[in-house]
Amino acid sequence: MLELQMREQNSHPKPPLLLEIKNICKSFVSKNSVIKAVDRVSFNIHKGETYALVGESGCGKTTTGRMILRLLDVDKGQILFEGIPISGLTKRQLRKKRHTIQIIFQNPYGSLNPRMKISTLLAEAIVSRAEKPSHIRAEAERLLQSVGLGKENLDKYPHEFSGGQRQRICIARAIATHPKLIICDEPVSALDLLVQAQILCLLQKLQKEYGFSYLFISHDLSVVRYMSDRIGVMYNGRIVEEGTRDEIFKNPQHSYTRLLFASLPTLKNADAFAAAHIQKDTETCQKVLRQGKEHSNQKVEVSPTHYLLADQ
Amino acid sequence: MHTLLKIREKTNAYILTGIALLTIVFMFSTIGPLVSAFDPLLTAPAMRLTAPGSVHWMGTDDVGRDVFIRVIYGIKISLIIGVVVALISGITGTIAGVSAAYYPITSKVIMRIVDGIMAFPTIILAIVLAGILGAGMRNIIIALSISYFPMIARVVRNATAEVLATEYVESAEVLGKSNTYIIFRYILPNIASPLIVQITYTFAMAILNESILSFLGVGIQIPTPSLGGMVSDGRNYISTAPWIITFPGLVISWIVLSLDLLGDGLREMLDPRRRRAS
Repeated sequence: MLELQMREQNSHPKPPLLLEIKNICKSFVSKNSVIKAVDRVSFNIHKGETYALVGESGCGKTTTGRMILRLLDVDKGQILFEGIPISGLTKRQLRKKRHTIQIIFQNPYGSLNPRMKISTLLAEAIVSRAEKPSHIRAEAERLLQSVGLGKENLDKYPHEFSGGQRQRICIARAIATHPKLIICDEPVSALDLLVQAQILCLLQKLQKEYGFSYLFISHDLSVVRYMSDRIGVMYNGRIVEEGTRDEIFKNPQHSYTRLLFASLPTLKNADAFAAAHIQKDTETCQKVLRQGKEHSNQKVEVSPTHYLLADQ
Repeated sequence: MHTLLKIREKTNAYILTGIALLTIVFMFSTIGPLVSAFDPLLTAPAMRLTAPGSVHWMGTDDVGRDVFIRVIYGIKISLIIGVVVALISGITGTIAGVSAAYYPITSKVIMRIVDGIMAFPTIILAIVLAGILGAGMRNIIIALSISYFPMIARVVRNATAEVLATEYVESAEVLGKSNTYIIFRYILPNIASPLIVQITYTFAMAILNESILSFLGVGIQIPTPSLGGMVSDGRNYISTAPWIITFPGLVISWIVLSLDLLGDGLREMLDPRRRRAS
């Protein structure tokens, strides 16, 4: 299986670059302290690829996503989208470019304007396209059907839907602009497990259909394993390890990555061993936390696609 | 639309009572001039301080004017002042509040002005302004609007800031929507609830404060009838002719009570926390 995939990767030339992130930094200043949310983060996303950022809450993965959307400005570093630095765009140019990167938020209850009908919500996304279609309502019906909802839902308001259905509407809205990159910011973590699986399948189906790339932000390793081609493990604002999905899952090198796997509850360790595991994990975690800020800028290469940051 | 659909199932006793009481006052002031033949300004010294009876339904005052017809005209003036003040301070407060929430630099300027105005007790500020501008209906409206716009600006600013932090506003930004679009399609519909509630209260407070200003002599000028002015005039005769002060006083309480009930009911119906819970 692994061999097969590696052969596949080797036989195809890499698709062209879509997004290049070079050493971006972002700090938040509060009254008494400066918090480095994102610190010297670099990675690339190719066309049609799914890149996952994993890490615990507060490690800076959402901030990274928001900077790519330019909902936040970078302090240092550069974000190139199709070779164009997005921080150099004026407000006007930016608004014209917006439709090429979309986002699906974590909380489907907060990401749809409660005062708009579904038809309006979809229509305002459709008209953001570079080329507007002539029949907006027909297009909205088609979009709704492609995310598995019937066209009879067009005249309803968001509060009439369940969480999973709302997330489908959010997805329909995101793909409505024909984007090249969709940032999925924990898109399934607010949903129950059965619905999670349905939404993930839908995301994959749509990717095959439209060929856009995903930046998949998550703390849930099983979700990441299902979705991603390549993975960056984030810790304390830095990417501490990056590799293809199989490299990360089969051969995790960094102690924090290993900790993430150790803390993954499975049916096996959910019984009597659980207590012992949690104890061990906490100790490891504390050890890792102590090491926390001592990462050097040195990259240790495991394979051409797999590297980790060296501990000092 | 969504609110309108919900209104029928969520209308509560407060709103119904408030609307019923207001309707009665409104009918009273509309029908009154048709059934009473008296002139609100006509003095009749011979009939002074007549007790309520079949001719003068609410009695007469110290110069023989019919209290009933004067109360009717007083209600009209009070309602006009209330509506106009609520509208003016509602519109200016909304503009100030939204721009304060949207643009950080404007925020500093606007909110300092608002804080400055709010540092004064409303009634004292209104008295000072009415004193500077001079008496008269137009000046009362200006004075009360200046006094009440800060409260609305503050409510609107906080509500707007809350809406601006939501993911649905970010989703509109990511779609490349302009600020104008976001303000009119996203912010205003979503801050409507607290705004309507605050405007209803402003309506009530404006009527009450118009009465106070007139009572203190800086409001509507004599001989134009106003509820507060009538209470002020009737003060000296409270033991000999209590009807002069009682009827306008009751009407003031009636109007303010009905508007407060309406405001409370609207708040309960439109409160986002309650809405989410349902």
